[in-house]
Amino acid sequence: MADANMKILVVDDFATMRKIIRNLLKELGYGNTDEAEDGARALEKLEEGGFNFVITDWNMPNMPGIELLKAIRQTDGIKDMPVLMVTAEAEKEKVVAAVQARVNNYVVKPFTAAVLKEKIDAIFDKLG
Amino acid sequence: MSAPSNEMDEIIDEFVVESEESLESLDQMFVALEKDPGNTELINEIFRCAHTIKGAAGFLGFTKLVEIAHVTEDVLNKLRKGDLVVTEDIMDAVLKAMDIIKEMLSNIKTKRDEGISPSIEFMQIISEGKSAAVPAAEGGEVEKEDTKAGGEVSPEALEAAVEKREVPSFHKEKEHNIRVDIVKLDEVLNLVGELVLSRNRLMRLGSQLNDTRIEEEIVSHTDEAIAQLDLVTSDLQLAVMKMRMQPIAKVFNKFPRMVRDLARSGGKEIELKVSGEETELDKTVIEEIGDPLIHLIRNSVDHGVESPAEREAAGKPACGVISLSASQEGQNIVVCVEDDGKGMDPEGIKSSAISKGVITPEEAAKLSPKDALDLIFRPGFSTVKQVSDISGRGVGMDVVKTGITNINGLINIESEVGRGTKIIFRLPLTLAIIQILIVKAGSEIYGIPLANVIENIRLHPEDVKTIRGREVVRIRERVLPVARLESIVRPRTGMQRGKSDKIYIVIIGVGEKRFGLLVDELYGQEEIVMKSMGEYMKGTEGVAGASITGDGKVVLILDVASVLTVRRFPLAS
Repeated sequence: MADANMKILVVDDFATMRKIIRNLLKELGYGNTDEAEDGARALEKLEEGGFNFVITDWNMPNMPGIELLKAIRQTDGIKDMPVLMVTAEAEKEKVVAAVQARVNNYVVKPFTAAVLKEKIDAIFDKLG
Repeated sequence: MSAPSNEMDEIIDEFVVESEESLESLDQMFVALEKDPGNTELINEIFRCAHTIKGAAGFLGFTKLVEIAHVTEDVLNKLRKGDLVVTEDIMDAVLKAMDIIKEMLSNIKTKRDEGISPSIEFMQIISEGKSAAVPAAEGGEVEKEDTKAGGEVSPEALEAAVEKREVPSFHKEKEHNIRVDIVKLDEVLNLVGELVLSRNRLMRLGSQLNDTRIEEEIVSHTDEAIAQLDLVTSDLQLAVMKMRMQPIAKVFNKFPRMVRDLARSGGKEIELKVSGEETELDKTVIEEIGDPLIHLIRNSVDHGVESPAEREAAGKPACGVISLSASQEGQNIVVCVEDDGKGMDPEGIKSSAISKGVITPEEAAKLSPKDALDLIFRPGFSTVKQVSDISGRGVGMDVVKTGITNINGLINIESEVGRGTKIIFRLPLTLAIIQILIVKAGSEIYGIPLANVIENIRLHPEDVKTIRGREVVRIRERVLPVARLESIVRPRTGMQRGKSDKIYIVIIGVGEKRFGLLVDELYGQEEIVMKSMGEYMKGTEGVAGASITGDGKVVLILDVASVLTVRRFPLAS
């Protein structure tokens, strides 16, 4: 089961989106969240430590979500970090690329709190 | 989303602000893309912006916005993949879609609803533009003519489908939110911390001073603490001021698109060169210069730059250049609009002003060429015989001047026939801190904004004459209407003269208007922060606000513009 106190990093270049996702998380009882505006900044924060879970957008300047995912998987200390990828439409090639880069799950925008909960629960049930 | 409604409101407000910011930079990218159609990096950037807005709009339930962003994104995606090539017509369609998105955002801001839905026809035009797409030729160059065959979206069809829309204009309503860089906020916070420390130190020293024995050491510590407080306060003032500063790019970004549209509809070729867009100005000043700049740039496109044929006949390149620039010079920001068009002829302006009754032939004869150019700022003046649909619906140059004067700015024109026109604004960095001349009139201390003080002269009370019941002073062969300063602010105190044998006259002016204020003492100048008068005293005629001087006295700050427009004082002009 997912721990309600786990620290979640929300990564998106659009501030409104970060706020929306953090609000949805709060609604689900996850109040311990932080945010980053792109992959590069996210990686810095993750390397500083303390995070348990990452929700990242795909489409971002500097470092897109897929690159962030790949970087996480190659960085000691955070390589097993669960990552949920947010995509706009279910674009097949994107999902395939994300799965190959060992994403834990993906969610298509726009989504509701219930859908987000399903995805998070699925990830953490699998991890045990 | 089921967030509480006020939280939801906040998110929607942020969404609108953030989306509008992204769209502002988009216009510029579109214009750049038209010039450099193969630039995939630009297309990617534009695509990402539309995509992001669409994503957030989906969460917030703005389905109409999602719909139009989606079709736009599709066209952009085709451009990105090379299935479509950039043509002016495709750009027109995409730009129109952007305008609709902007309108929807502004409706969302006020009504929490997109308000409009793009007509079915418009959506079809956009989607036909993509379905009848002409594949980009492989490897080789693409001729414009070729691409017209299939993927064309005719401007006429667009006009028919979308009700005629104005060139995007600036939001009239003032925005109350400002997005501040965290670095700036941190700086302020840090300084406030310093300020608190200094205050604590002074308070402790103050309590020690209460001891009867004042030791030299305490005095020198007090001096130190005061010096420190002085330093921190000045820095804090600057830092807070900087929080209100925004790059002028916020205004400049809208112009490439505007010039593109105007030039296209006027059959002209114009390149807009923008520089100094990173220059920062107070938010209030930024909001005020938008309209004057729109008007000046319209004028340059409409009346300044000639048609390509005329330009070639005059031996100039067919493509005209309008340069828009901003830079900081000391405590001022200088903004320039310059074109390489036909310029203005002082004699033509004079005869036009005479025929419109703006001035008499005698007055015209006395005017220098430079003063003749300034005639365009007079109300009721326009050198264009035919009102075009570009500048015709705008405001007159007199309104431009008023707008700039309102924010304590100055305008200057330089023009040379055949070579072009340059209009220069000199604007204050901020409106928060002003320089005042401190004077005493009757029993009160007043402050007069230094920007409006023309000169000070010492007189004898008997130099003030009365002509037809009005007080005047003759200065250098000119009769200047005057009044006791305190009689303006407190009319019931009457026109008592001071008893002393000397009196000062402070000549104030806005534009060409002049007026003399009689005062008893001149105390010098000071930099102050103006406070509003509060509910009780609000609207006091002739008073703009109040401040406290270094020695703790309250000064009323004169509202020079209102003093000059009050009818009971005849003005020398």
